Amino acid sequence: MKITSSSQPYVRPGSLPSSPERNVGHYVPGYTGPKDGLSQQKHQWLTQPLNKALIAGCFRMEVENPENMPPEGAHVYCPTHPSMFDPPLVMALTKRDIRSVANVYVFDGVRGHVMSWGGAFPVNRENATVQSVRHCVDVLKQGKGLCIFPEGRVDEAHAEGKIGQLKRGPAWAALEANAESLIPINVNYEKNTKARPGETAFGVGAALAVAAGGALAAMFGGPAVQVAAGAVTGALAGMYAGGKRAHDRTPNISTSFPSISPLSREAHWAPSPVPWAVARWPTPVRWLAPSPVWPVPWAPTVWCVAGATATSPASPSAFRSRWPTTWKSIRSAIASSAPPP
Amino acid sequence: MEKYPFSNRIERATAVNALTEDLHRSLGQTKALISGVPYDDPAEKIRYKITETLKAPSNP
Repeated sequence: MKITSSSQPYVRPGSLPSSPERNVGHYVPGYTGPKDGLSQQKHQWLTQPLNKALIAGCFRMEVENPENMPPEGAHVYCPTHPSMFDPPLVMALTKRDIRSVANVYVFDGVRGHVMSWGGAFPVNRENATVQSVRHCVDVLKQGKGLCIFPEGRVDEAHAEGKIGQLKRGPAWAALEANAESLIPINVNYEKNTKARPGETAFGVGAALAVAAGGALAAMFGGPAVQVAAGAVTGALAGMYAGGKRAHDRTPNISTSFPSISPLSREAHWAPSPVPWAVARWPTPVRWLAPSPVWPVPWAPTVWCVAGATATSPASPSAFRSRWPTTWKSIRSAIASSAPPP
Repeated sequence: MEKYPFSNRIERATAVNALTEDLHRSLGQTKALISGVPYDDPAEKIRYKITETLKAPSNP
């Protein structure tokens, strides 16, 4: 037997160069998440105001029991996950530094950059790395908030008015890191066609301004101004008519984005004939378009119920005391509970 | 840092299970209040599944 040594020097596994594939646990085409697979507070000063502006433009968020959202401390935020809009909604609930767990496959393109800037880090659900799981515990040990969707995915059970089965990761991370509490957050969507106080006034004022400007241009302007005024008026009217037609032809306006909206129950997974963006963009246009049918801006209402149950106490300290968050209370809870069948 | 409280895996898993059940109950009951669909407590199913997972492998 002849033994030959390799020409390549032996490399210890610990000294291998870091690669995104190793750290996130799976190869993701176009991966743009954090290279080390860990969360970072890189541009939260920018993403949080932008996120709130986005939410304010698209939704009307009503928060019940906001006193149950602790402003600081190592807490695990556990929202339900009825749609893909939930992460920015939950991030808009508080100003504090919250690191969130997200599926590794959504870290691609611009979305991956934005999520990384907002403090999200990837976890491969099928084959989670030790590093990503330990990072959940490390975040809590550093006194930061950790946001995990305990259902682990956008669940179809929300279409039936229920919640899905929960994974045990949030409870495990909370116990492992000795976190202060788990914060249950219910996210609920509801279609709402009622205009906000300023929207109708803005729409009326803008429409009157456009109409008055067009009339003045037609009366006193030259031929070029008249053509321009006619073009602007025609374009606005056309956009409004097209947008209204698209809006009316869409069975439920938010079923088309990404086909997992909770607003539609009968066609929950069915794609809509009108893409979400096409059906959505005419809304600001309707504010400006003069029309006999006066425009009413449309926006869904989102409820975020933090820790609200039938027996939920009002104060955060009393709320925290509901949870067996100390080892002594956990032991007593185990001792007092009935043995499993 | 407090001393690690669990003496074995089953005790730790039981604590995780109890906390998860409590979380499910809180989220589910609130969802039932909002949606009007009565809450179906799946605690028994979850407990059964975890108990099955933690069974020692049978020795033929």
